[in-house]
Amino acid sequence: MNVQRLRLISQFVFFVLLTYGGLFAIDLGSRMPTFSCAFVPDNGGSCFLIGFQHMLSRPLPEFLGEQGIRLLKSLGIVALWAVVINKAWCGWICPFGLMQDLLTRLRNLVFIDMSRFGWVTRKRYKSVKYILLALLILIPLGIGNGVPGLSRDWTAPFCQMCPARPLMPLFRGDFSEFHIDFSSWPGLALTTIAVILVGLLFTSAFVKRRFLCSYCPMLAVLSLFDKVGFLSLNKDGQKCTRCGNCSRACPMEIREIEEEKTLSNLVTQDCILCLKCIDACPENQALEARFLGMPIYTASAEGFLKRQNVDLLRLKRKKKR
Amino acid sequence: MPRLRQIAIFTWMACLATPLMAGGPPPGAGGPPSGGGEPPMIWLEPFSYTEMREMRERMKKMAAERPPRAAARSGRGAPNGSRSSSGRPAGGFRSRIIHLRDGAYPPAGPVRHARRPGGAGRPGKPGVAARDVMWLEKPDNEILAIDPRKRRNTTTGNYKTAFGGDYRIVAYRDAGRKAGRPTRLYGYYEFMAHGDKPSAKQARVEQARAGYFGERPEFEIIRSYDKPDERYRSRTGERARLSVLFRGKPLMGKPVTMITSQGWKQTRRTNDKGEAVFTLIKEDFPKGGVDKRKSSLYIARATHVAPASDPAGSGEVQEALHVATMSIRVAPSALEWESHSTAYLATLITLASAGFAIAIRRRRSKQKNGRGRK
Repeated sequence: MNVQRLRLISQFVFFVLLTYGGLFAIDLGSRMPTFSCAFVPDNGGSCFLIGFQHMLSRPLPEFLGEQGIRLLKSLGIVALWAVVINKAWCGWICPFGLMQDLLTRLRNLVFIDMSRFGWVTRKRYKSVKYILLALLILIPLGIGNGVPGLSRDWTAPFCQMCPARPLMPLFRGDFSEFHIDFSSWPGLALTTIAVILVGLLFTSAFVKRRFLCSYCPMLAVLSLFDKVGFLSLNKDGQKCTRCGNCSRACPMEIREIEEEKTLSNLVTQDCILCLKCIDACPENQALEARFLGMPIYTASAEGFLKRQNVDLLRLKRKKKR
Repeated sequence: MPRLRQIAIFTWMACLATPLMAGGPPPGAGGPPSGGGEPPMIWLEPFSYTEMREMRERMKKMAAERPPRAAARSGRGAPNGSRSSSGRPAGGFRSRIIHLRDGAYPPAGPVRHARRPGGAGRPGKPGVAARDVMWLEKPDNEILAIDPRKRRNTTTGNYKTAFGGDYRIVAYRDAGRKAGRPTRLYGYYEFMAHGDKPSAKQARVEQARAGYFGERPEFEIIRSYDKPDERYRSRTGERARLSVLFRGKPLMGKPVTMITSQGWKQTRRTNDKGEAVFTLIKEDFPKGGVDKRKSSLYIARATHVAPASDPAGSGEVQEALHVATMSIRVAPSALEWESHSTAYLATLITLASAGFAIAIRRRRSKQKNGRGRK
């Protein structure tokens, strides 16, 4: 079976589970390292960032007691999830990622060319997700400890500016979160950013693949577990011919996958483990996905040709129409 | 004899302290019937007209029985609530006296006035500590502290109702430590102040909804809830279904008026089921801007005249004017500060501007590449 089709099915299944799961009494918890928005009514599981930010909005001495234990427990569960399937949370589960992938498919259907950022630009914006992660930790801590200028209007700052908040509840027919909050200036600023990001998401999907994932703080959290995750992406530098197919196929435009020859585990900070690089690799066993060291998907010349033929046939059919 | 008196007082105090320590009245202590296994609490109540009349008569009787000096002393301590000299309740706004007592609610016996500890055949009430704190919550959300004064063996405070609406008096008392934790006892009293003057043949019956531990009044307004969470919060734009009941039965065609401290007023009549439906409109929230936490008090009020007999047997009173009130705390709904249309507009502007910017950029780069090829 085509792995990309399998990935799409997995994304759809998790989208339904996480968005409509609550209707069928399914609850996967509220500590999931994925953008399943907590604002979706009756969700089947939600992103851990909202709870994390609320937990941090406490005075520091409280972390020495029960609050600290609660925080550690929450982080422990996130770490466990992250170690087990690593960045596959982004590539195979994230409902927000599915939306971006579907928009990319739509772009392909209408034959709009894709664009790429220059390497310098990419490098410059790479740190944005870490800055966001630092802010979503520091602002709640500041609120809890009475830092001047940080009122309760800043509570859960990332969730207020996250584009998933206005967008994801729409799938449940809930338009209440698609708003701009005029009650305070932090609310006004953050909610305006959220709706602007929604606009950018739709526009950017017709230009770039997974545009917002490059700035996602969840990716920054998951990248802490890159090297210890059970799921890994391995490369045999001896077999690689540096054809560049893998980096061109990568939706996150990771250059290291093509250039790196010495490192065996290639799960970099931006990798979402979509395995498109393995699909595009024409060299036998040059790239390999492993779970606990056991190979689960390997690049092969035969598979590559098969996929190319299928793709070429599809392209021809489209052009004939 | 003084030693015996000391022992008696000590025994009485120990009896009284037991329910406070154990969380209930002592077995066989002859406590109030409905207060059986209830936790200890304090309660607030104003002197009712009937009680005042009875009390005055009792005092007159006692004064007649006592020697002249004692009678003069007891007469000095009589409560002076608002009451006309003819014995009928007076209309209009006025000052009243609130009393804070302790024990289980409701108190035993028909007469609810303070009693001195000890005495012949009386269990008595304890003295009230000077730490009691009282305040008055006015219909306009203003909170006024009531200066508590120790009056005989209860704490008394004066308050003034300057305008109509739903008032709430709250009092608390620190009751020492219980199971290692500091315990504070709270008492509540809610009432409606209004300027209605009953006719010569009417007696006004004001029955307070004394919080969750009060007795059910004869005439009352009850809110029915469509959704479970309405019980905990009401927001502007929501509906409020109010039932008007007299002795537990719904009253049809009864006008119910809902007012707010800002002056909004709406009157609805009850339907066949005895229900009046109101839409909680947006209140003009004070101080400008939007405070998400700021709630406003909406007060529903209904009156009912029913035949009644004068408890004192004077024959002057033939009817009772029942006044029932109910308050709903209404918080501003999200629609007051959220704008959906602005959000849609902002998204569309972003889409359009980003789309145009990308299109122009691509066109330019294509032209550049074209020139380069040439």
